[in-house]
Amino acid sequence: MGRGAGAAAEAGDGFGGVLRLGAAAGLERLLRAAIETSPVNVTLADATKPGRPLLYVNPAFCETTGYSAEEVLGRNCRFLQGPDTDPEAVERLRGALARAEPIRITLLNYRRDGKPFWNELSILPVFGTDGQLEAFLGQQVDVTQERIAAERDGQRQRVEALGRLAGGVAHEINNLLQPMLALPSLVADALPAEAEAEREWLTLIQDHARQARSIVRDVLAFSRGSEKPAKPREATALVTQALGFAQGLIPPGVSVRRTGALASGARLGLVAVEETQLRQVLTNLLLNAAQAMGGHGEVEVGLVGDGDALRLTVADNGPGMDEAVRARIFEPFFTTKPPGEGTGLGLSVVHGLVASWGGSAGVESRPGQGTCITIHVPVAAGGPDQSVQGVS
Amino acid sequence: MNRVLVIDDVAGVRRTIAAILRREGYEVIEARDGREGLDLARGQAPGIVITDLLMPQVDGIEVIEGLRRPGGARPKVLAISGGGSLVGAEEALGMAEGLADATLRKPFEAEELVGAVAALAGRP
Repeated sequence: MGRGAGAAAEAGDGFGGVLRLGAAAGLERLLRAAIETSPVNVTLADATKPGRPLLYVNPAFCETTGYSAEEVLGRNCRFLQGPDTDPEAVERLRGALARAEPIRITLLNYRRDGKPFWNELSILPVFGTDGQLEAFLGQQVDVTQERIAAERDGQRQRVEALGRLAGGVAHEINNLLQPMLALPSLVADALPAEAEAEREWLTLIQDHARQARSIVRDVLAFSRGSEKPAKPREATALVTQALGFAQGLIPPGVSVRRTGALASGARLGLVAVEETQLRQVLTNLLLNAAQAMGGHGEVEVGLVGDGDALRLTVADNGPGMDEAVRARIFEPFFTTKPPGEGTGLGLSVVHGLVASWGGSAGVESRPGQGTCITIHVPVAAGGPDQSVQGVS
Repeated sequence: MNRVLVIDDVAGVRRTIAAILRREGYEVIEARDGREGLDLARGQAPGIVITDLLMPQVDGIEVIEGLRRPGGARPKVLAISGGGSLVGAEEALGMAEGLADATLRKPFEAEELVGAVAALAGRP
């Protein structure tokens, strides 16, 4: 930081220090131009007035937030906050301002149109030559994309680690299950004819071993990622076929509405997906949606092209879920159902299978607004299915 | 074809298979690992060998290759696997395809085992 310029820094380099204004130099016009054209949102708030009204916002601020300068000047910056802004972060921010301390914090803010964005906010108190607090200089960067990417990476890593663990445990259990699954029938044969109760107990042991085997296979389906790639097939026909199968397994009170290519029959290209796996994915998603809606309602299943990928969506109008549930929804054994009503493996199996196709699974949900699971599957090499052109 | 050698490092699995097959009238001999299995195969000349694939030291693939050496008795082979911590069951059984005469994924039911072994033994 050069001294002798219009503004000189004292006590610190960049953020973490405070600015003390010296005598304004001829650089003022250039500095103003730099701020006006900066991609960083810059704000100045009057620290001498109650409510710290905004004195200045640069064009980048207007672009990020959707507000014009006229709309916001004279107001406190808290209009950016909204329903999901962390109150604790706001409290920390207020505390720092009250003590005239610099602060760097990331919080959820809202654009003029109500769209939330993650705002990485740095605020410096600005003191005049007489040592009086004059203003707060705010610099803000929209870090929404970085936050989403970090969240997705974190979720993927958590799911992968749990998958490895679950896979190892599952393989041990396979061996332990072997006698329980295979020996009861031998014992039953050795029992005298009148030992009906004992025969029933043996059936119980075997039934439970079968259920355990089924759970273990689900865990393996979730954790495996090195399957041989499937032969590419035309996506719309493949999904339509698998959806027909899955639809037969959901409660009669739930109907399925097809949109996109599933309604129009449009061909979107080839995908390298095993049909049995796709059946399982759609079955799990439909059953999950059906359960979320209490066994009654409409599930919308859509298939559209999305760049180099296809987007398959399964949306319900159930109660939706909060952020804490949403963040963990693909983890194995995570369930919101009462004990005994679900293993919590359904969506983790979906996640594992989709990952083995080279795709990704995501979820959008808010309390009261239903849930939409989105699956991206890469279009396989060979692009649009040439071999079936002209066939409707 | 009546003598069956069972090779598995997990005693519970080995004993389960032996119990089921003895009930079906087969003569069953057991080996705790691949090396013991190959020794027994040479000395006892079983008609059928059931081998686990993922075992420490000498694994099931090496066992099958050992059984297939020229000059050997060439018994029929049923490969079984429940997978390991790094390799899935299907992957392991896939590796045995073309080497073994049949494969079975663990855990299986008694009837599945009896059916697979009867087919190898040429029993009706």
